[in-house]
Amino acid sequence: MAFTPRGGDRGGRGGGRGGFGGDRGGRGGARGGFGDRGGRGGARGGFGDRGGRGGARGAPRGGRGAPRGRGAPRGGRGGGPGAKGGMKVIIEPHRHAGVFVARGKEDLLVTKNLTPGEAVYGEKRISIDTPTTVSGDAATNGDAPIATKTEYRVWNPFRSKLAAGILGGLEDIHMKPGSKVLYLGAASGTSVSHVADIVGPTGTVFAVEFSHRSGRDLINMATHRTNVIPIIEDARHPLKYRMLVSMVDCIFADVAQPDQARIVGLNAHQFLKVGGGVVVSIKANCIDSTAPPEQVFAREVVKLREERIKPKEQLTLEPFERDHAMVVGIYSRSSA
Amino acid sequence: MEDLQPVGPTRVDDELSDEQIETLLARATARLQQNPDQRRSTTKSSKFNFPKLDAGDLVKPYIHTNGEMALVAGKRLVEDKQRKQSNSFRKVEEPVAAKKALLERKKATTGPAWFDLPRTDLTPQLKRDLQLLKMRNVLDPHRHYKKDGGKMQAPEYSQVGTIVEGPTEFFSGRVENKKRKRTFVEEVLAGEQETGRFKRKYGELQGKKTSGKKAFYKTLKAQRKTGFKKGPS
Repeated sequence: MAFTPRGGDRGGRGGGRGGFGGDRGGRGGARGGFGDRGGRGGARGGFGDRGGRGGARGAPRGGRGAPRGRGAPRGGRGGGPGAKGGMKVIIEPHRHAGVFVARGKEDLLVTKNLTPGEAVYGEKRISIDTPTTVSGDAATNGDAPIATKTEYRVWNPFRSKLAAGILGGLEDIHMKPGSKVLYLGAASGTSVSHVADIVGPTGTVFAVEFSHRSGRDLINMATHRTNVIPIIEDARHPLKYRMLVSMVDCIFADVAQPDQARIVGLNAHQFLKVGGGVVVSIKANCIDSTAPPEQVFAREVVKLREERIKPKEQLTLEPFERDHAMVVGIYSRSSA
Repeated sequence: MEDLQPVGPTRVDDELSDEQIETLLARATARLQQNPDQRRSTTKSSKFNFPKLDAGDLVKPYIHTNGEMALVAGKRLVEDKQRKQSNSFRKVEEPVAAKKALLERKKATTGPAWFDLPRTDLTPQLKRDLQLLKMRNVLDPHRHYKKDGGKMQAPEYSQVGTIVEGPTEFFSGRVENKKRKRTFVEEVLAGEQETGRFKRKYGELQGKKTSGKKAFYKTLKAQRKTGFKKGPS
């Protein structure tokens, strides 16, 4: 497992990439190791809404060209979004547990909605046509069967780094139904809601966000989802919220701070179990805007190593985010 | 340590102090004053004991005599558990078949990893949908998909759903109720009715393929026969 980030060769596989389905499952075997699969981008055909990202997120992101028009066939809303309300899709399980794919004219990444009938941030949903699942007791005691609706929510890779990472082909996201996740940099809770869907009612998401403004939205979201514990606190001081957080299986960090690696390390030492996963999204501009991105990523990985997080894979979020990398590691207390 | 030395007349010698001798004497007198029965019980506990003559409550025999007659108590003839079993049907399960059925039931869904997604119910309509999904790269020339060749293989677990638009997309991202269809194939066919793209493409291809072939020669011959010259003029 040689760790050799080959940052430079961007855009190796350009061309028509889209409708990412197909070869799921067989994917893991071919590439082991820790190579930087930089830029599998190109024309992203059948995925997601081609309108780019809608709505603003908590963190300011200035000075970047709009992602739209870099390869979208008909650029923007002109041709209308591909998936319209009323269309039929087929839901299949994704390679990662708790994640699904909706296949139609285009493929959509979806998670099973924890609160059927509600959208969190105005996203599309997918309702299942035969929704009657009879709960156990109702069938036997002669009452009317309780129909629980099944619903899925569409996960936009342009708005969520984790979704972008999954589509980019992360080997392991270290989250599955029932696991406990510490989410640093939760912002308004749009991605958190999807993580909450993945871990399901048996899991827990501890969502840490420092900004009060976006923390308000986070708390609003958490009122509907019982498995989300919102924490409005600085992630640099994990001792402040240690009474709220149990030992976790995975830490997801999207904090975009210069001392990001240190923040992740502090939280890992405090809450993460040995052998737990660390998923970090690195925005090169926020760490060091003068150095080239590949160099920044390499330096961050070294810092993570010093925090006893053994890096396993790194990939750029290229068609979805510019100059972003996702690093996945394993926390090993004894030696990195 | 000296306190713990065994006490006996032979071992007592001149080295013992007066106090020690006092304590030893006190202990000896105490032992002599003990109840003689107690002393015996401690010494004779390992002796043989005769069993008691009374055996206590025994299970009564199911035959009992009433004067000259011997009577059978039918109720106690068979144990309750066995009677219960004999009065009801007994279900015999073939272990191989039972195991198979259990496995089937288990595989009816994906299990907790994907929140019990049910097994694919492969209706003819769904089969068509999946076949068309496999060939969707021909539907729209402007949209590119990852290569997905080979035969259609139905996914093991799947569900069919309908997209519900977001709250802001009522006019932009929604198919009107009258135009909604039941399956993916019907949607595509409705689109074809609108655009006529496939028909046009077929016509183009046919025109190209058949030019200068049999049909062309037939018309030519017919023209020669009639002598009617059809010119572009």
